[in-house]
Amino acid sequence: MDESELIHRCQRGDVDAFDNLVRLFEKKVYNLAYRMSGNHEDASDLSQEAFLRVFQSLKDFRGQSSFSTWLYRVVSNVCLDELRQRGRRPTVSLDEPVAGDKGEVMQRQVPDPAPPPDELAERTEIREVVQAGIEQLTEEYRMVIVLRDLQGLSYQEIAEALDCSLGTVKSRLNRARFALKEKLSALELFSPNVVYTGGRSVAKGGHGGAL
Amino acid sequence: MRCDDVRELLSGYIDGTLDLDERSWVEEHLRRCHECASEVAALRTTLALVQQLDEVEPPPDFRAKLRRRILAEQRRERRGFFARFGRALVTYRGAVAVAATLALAVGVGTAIQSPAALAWLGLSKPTTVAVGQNSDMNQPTAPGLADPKGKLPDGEKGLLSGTSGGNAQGVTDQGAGGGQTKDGITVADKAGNGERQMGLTGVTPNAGSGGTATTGGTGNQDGGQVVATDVSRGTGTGIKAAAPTSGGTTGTGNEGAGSGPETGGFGGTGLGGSLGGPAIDQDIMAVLPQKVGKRASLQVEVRNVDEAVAKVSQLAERDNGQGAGYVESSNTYTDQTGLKHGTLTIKVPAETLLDVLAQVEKLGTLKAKSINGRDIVPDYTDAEARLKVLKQQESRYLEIVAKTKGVDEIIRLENELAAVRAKIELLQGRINAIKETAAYSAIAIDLIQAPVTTGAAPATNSSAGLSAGKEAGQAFMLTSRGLGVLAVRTARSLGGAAPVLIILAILWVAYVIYTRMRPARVRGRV
Repeated sequence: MDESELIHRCQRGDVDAFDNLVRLFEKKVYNLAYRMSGNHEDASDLSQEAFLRVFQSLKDFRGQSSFSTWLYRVVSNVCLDELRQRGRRPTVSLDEPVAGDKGEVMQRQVPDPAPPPDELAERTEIREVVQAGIEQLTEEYRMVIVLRDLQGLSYQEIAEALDCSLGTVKSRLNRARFALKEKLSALELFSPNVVYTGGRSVAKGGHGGAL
Repeated sequence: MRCDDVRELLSGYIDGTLDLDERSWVEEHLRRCHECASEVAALRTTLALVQQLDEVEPPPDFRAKLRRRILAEQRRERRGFFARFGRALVTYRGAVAVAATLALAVGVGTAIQSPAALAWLGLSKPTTVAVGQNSDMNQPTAPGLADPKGKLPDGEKGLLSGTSGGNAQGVTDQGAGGGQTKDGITVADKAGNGERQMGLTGVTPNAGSGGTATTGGTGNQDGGQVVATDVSRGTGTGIKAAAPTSGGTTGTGNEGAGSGPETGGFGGTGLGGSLGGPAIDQDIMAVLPQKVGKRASLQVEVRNVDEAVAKVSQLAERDNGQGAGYVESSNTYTDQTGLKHGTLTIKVPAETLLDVLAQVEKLGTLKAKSINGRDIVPDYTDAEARLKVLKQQESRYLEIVAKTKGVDEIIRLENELAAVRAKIELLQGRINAIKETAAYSAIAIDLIQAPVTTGAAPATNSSAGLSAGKEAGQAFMLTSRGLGVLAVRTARSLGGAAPVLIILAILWVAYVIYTRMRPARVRGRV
């Protein structure tokens, strides 16, 4: 059964058909969620939530774009929404002076939520370090990096998935990569033998390839 | 500044998405600017590191878990629909209540007047519509509406041919007089024996409720062909309408306004208020074919039941030149209300039927009257035809016997002859019985003791026609009675809905009081 027939059946509420559709895309979606959240538990929750949303809104899919692009759009929205919600920690003003125990005025001491650099350095696996670096990016930056450099989407596909212009994708990706470079170069991870030669298909270990 | 511009493009440069101009511009800059060149190297390294990350596998129970959640979601959505529906009902409870009340009132008002409901309430008899299919007659089929404009003779033809099969059509005609008259008009063939009835039934003397489905009852019982005529005394006169639909005849009760049926072959026209009795009977008798077993039933209110029973018996046994009749059964009883009843069935020579009926009617106040005709023509013709064939067979055998010499052969032929003669005798007996049926008419008489308080004068009818002056008066009476009937009907339909309306009104008021008593803030919050 081809994809469009499968989609058509899903739109009529066929749970079995949807099961087959999920089989086709679960790996992509799960990996996206995993790279966005950084752990299996959250990745599982996120992708479950995403597929649930896909099933519910599938009736709105009219084939304006390719299904995978539409799917990415739904999934990335779910991930961004959920992560923003979870990431909403109690906000405190860093600039506002606070009163000490004895009435003296002092600057607030705020702990950095990110793991300290030395802790990151202790991680033996380079991959873990890279993942940790990605997690330190904002959700938007993380998303473009994952979509482009791990999932291998084109700029155009990313623009459609994130519902933004091509120019936005270009500049956001550029800034995201610079930001990640800053995180990783601080860890002195760079060695001369790891060289990115450019292009989606070149680097080994990538998850590239259009859906 | 220049470096910042270049750095904007480095990501695109690495991905190879820059156009030629941008690319040569970046390359030229990178040759001269070591800082930017090292940025590019760092970016390439970063991406290489990112792409080292392996794909991970979703947990094995991922899809099973998802499936469970989706099924649960579907169930919840279904519940959600009803919940939303319920909330909408609450939100628009005012409109819902009004709509429900109206619908209920109209529904009850309508239902209460349907024949089925009336029958259930014991108010009147429903009309049966008998539909049958006849297949064992070999006469030509008379389908459907063979002759919609048929007059009486055609109707009779229809009667003859209608028996022979095809689909009998049930026609239920509703009278024109305000839609109230639901006289059963039944046209039907009874399968197999071709037995049919032609009924002329129904005299409903009560002006207000006259003609309400009381007719057609007896005539329809046997599923034969029925002509039902409803005669509503005093308000109008319905007259038979012969519809040749498979030989059937439609009757339509008329009330008040006296308009005739639309569907009948020839329609009745209201003849005027007090016209009735014998004049109509004569009309009815004219419609009935000659060889018809007639059956009449009368309900008469009398002062003294015992006396009346005796008189009826005398009437039956009296011989005034056309032969005497006889009393088939007679019994008397007293009902729960203490009124005495006498029921008799008498058989009188067919020719004297009308005379006897008129005599019986004179015993008191006529309450109801019907005449049914059971058409025995097909039976009769069938029997006659078979008799003819058998007689021919008999004479053939006789001829052969005369020529035959061998004893064995003669004995064998004699046996055959005897069998044929036995059949002839059987048929002859049957034919005689049929003739007997036609010769004698049965009258079922129900004599009821008149309530002591009754002030109702016996209906005095004139069959001699009405003078011009009387006619005008009749017309006036007709119209006013028609309006009266309309008023009664309206009241009845409203009356049917009234209890429901009252209950709903009480509930509504209780609800309103209840909601008013709750704190205002609760109401205000919505």
